[in-house]
Amino acid sequence: MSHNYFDQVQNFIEQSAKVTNLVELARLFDLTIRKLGCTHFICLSHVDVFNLPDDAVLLSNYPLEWGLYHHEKQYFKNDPIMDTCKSRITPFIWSDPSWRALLNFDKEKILNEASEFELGEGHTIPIHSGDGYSASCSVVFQPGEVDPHALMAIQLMSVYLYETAIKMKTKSINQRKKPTTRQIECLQMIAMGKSDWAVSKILGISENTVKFHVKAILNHYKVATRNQAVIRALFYGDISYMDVEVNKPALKPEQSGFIHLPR
Amino acid sequence: MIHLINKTNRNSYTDILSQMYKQRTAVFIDRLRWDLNCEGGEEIDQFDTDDTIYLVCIDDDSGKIMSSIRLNPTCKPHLMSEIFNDLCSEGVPVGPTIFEGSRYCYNPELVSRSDRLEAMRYMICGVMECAVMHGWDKITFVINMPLLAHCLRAGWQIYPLGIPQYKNKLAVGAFAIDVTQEDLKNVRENMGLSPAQSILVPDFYDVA
Repeated sequence: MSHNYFDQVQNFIEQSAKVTNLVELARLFDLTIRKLGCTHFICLSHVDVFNLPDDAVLLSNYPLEWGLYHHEKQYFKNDPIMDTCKSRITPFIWSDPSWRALLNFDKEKILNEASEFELGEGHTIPIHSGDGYSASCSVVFQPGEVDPHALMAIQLMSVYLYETAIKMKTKSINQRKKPTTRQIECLQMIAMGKSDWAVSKILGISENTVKFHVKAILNHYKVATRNQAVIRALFYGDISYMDVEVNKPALKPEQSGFIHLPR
Repeated sequence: MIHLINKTNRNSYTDILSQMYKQRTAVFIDRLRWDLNCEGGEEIDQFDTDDTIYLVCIDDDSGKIMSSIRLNPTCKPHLMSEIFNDLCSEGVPVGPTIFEGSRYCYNPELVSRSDRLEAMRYMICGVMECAVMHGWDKITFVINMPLLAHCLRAGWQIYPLGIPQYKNKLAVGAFAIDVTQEDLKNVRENMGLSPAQSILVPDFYDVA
């Protein structure tokens, strides 16, 4: 039985390498999961999908009415599935009580409303492969209609689906240029709250050079303010929260609050 | 740059190997809680053998290991043949030109996601280059599903050998890549390297 599933996976991977556009790719996945007993799917980068950035994708056969309703209510800000995927790497079933127990009233309400659009039971695979957005692929089915082994095959295919889609959407996603080392150093200090003057003294460069670097950073991220630049840099992982929080001047041991037991 | 360590030059890399085993302990035992053997803070198992080849990416300035991977000949017992053979639907691929990659490990001090991704993509280039140089035609891996997406993103044409299974909460599967000059070019391009840019230390070719 599971041998048959593997044939379907191989077939999907082989075919997906041949398709020439996203519509064909979505149709291929739709066809494949229907054979396995699923009714709907959605494969998406976690962004406001009605305002899709260049390096994000959305492939789905969800009822459009649900999509519009979801958007109108701004559910993407509080969607339980997207929200869970941000901090989780393992798949989950929507009816799993241990997952449902974690959801608050508003999130539970979104799931209940979805079930009125025939999106009641499903299986979601979080995907974290990029430098930016988290993503996921969910399939929807009638409770008990899909074999757990089939879900494993779907989990495997979902990763290929998302990566193929992203590659098709933009071939340059990995060629996103990083800011220069000097620019990053400046931005880290700005994130720590340092003034241009302070940055210039620390790096041993003139204040004008610091301003020059900052301007280049704003340009780089295509944003208008320093706060926006810091947020972008954290999002893309160009600076990390640890760099900004840890690289404070060292305090004397007795002031720092850490516990050190002398031997 | 990436160093190749095998039985011929192992003696001059004892400190590096020890550092690598300690990083493996920190990542696989302390962080990921894998049930592995550990002696004197060093994670070493039955597949760290005389035939094993290690690729180790060492930061030129600090001398610290940024990432490492273990490569074993598939003609001898290896992870996929001994422990995970149920993951392959049509048998474990073995042969003199097939090697298995395992224990990919990044420096646990790398905290930002982009640094970790970069270390991994860099190592992927190293593995491809090493394979082309040796004339291998296939590399096999047992990897978990979250890692699969990263391999695909790096430009690897990695394909499954069977349906993954749950082992310790994470779905784990058997995968392989075919080694071609074209793929080496692809992963280099994805990394922002020029198509012919080697990232292996110059004496790498002598050692191998």
